[in-house]
Amino acid sequence: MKAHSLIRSAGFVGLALALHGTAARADADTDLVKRGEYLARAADCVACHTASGGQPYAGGYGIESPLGTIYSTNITPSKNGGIGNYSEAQFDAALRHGIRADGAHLYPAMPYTSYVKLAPDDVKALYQYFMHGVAPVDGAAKATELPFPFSVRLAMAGWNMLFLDKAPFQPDPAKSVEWNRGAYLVEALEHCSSCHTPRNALMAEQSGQAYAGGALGAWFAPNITADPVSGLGGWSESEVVEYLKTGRVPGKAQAAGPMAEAVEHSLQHLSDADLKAIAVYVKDLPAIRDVHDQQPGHVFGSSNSDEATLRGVAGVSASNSAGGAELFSAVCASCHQPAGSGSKDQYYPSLSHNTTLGRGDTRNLIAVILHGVARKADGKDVFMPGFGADSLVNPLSDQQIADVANYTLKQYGNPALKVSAHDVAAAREGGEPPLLAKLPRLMPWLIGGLVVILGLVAWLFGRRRKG
Amino acid sequence: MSTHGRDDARRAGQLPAMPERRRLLIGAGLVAGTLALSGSWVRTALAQSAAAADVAQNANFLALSRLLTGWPALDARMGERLYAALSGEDHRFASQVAALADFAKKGGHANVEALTAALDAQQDELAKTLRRIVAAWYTGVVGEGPNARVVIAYADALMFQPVKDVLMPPTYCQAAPNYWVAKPPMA
Repeated sequence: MKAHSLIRSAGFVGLALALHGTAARADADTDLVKRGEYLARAADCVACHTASGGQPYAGGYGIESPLGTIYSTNITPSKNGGIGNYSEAQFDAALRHGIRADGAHLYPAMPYTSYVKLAPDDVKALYQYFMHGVAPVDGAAKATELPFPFSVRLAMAGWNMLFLDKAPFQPDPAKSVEWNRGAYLVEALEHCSSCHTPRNALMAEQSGQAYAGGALGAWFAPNITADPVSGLGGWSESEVVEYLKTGRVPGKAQAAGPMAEAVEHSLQHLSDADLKAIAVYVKDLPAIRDVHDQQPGHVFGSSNSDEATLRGVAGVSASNSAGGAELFSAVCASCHQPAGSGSKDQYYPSLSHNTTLGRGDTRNLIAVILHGVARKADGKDVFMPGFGADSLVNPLSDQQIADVANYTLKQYGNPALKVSAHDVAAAREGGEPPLLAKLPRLMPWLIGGLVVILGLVAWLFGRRRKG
Repeated sequence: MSTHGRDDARRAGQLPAMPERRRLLIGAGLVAGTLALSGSWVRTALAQSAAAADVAQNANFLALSRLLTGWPALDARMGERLYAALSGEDHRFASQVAALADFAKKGGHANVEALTAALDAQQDELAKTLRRIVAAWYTGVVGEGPNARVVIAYADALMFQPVKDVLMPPTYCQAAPNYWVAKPPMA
């Protein structure tokens, strides 16, 4: 009897221990999935891997690259069309080196040049999240079909040889823990350089111009180095945090276009400590000055109005809209106010002391007039209608947009800047295409040669490394 | 080529036959040119003196308007347009402005209330002019009812200014959408 009960007790204890172990492991797994979820937020995977109106992470979002539309893939854990069959090593290779499970190369629209610096623990957490924290969605996303020669994915092997720096993230022991956390977030997870660093003729980030500002379709991702004139030198740390958390800093700038998406989907969800770390690091980025910039973008302009000379004279017509003043009064002033001062709460921002009009680049001014603003952040829906062809308010012509842009620049911004109807037409087409994108039409054979040269370079590089 | 050559030769042969006509033509041209030049000089001079007179009249109107409205900072451009519209409505307006300014100065009336009381008692016509000026600045409209001539100011009309901190005229956004859901700020 005694022995029997002993055995039974031992059994209970064993069972309890076993249960306890499972629970602890489950907790650990849940924590890992949770951490992966936070990291995926920080990396803003959802922005590109979700089509508008589609299932989260099911892919199919068209990234309008200058070389053609690149469709994001289904990264849900579905075994049919998703990445359900990926091992952790395969996941790691795709994430950090741009190589799919089938061995094909990804285009660097996937920011693996930044993710290459991810810590192994973070890759593990991301893998756990995508395997267990994301709902599987069956069906592959639309395939990417770039024109020849960009359709040759193998060319990316040569590109990677030239431009993919596989060195892991190295903390700087001379800097604070906070600075290093910021560096890791900025360089790896948030992949800020993908947009804020200008690209060279082969569409790779120019290392000597890190964070000096780059083009992104019709938009311009501005200089975020510590330079007080061209960059964020005039911003306080708390202003940088406020911008990342809310998408705006009254008297300085507002996020629109792709940055509004980054704030909405990613940055506003980061912990305050992480945002502070990003601000600390960004404020310490090596300063790069554009020689054309005379003063910071947010310094330009003051509120003023031409209403007194316009009102009751004539409406907007083909003959009198060239000044832009009538157009401003008709399409801008109802929200931005007749004097361009914005509403009192600055929900409708002031046009003076606004980097969109003061910065030495007019692309964001044109893009915001064409496409408007849509940003959900800080518990608010911020909306400005666009005035492009599909405008719900009032479609404007290229010349009208140029006129009203020039009027606002003269009245509230950097009066040295000028916008032409041609600039607006280019913005409608998604910005001036880089040389590389123009080449296929002009000289297909030259691109073919380039691929061969890249292949040769890659081969030579490989040989030298092995030797 | 050959036809042109013949024409040229004929013309060349005819011209020396009438040198006095050529002199007459040149002389007439010179006289006409001189007249035209002096004419344009006279016109410019006239325009300049007219512009100077306008500047003085506008400045006087603005100074009088400051007294009549009690607003120390009025928009000079709006003043010019109101003055032009009020003058267009009544050809005696310019002299009435001068008379009003004169009356206020001589009477030593420090504010519009004292001035209006004095005018109502002594100068019925000038009292009406005073009210037309004040109404124009406050409403931004010159003339009344079916006789209203033109809207010169809307959001900048004086009637909207005292409440501007909490109420914008229709057409202009006061604040973020749905701001009216929240309780208004305590003054």
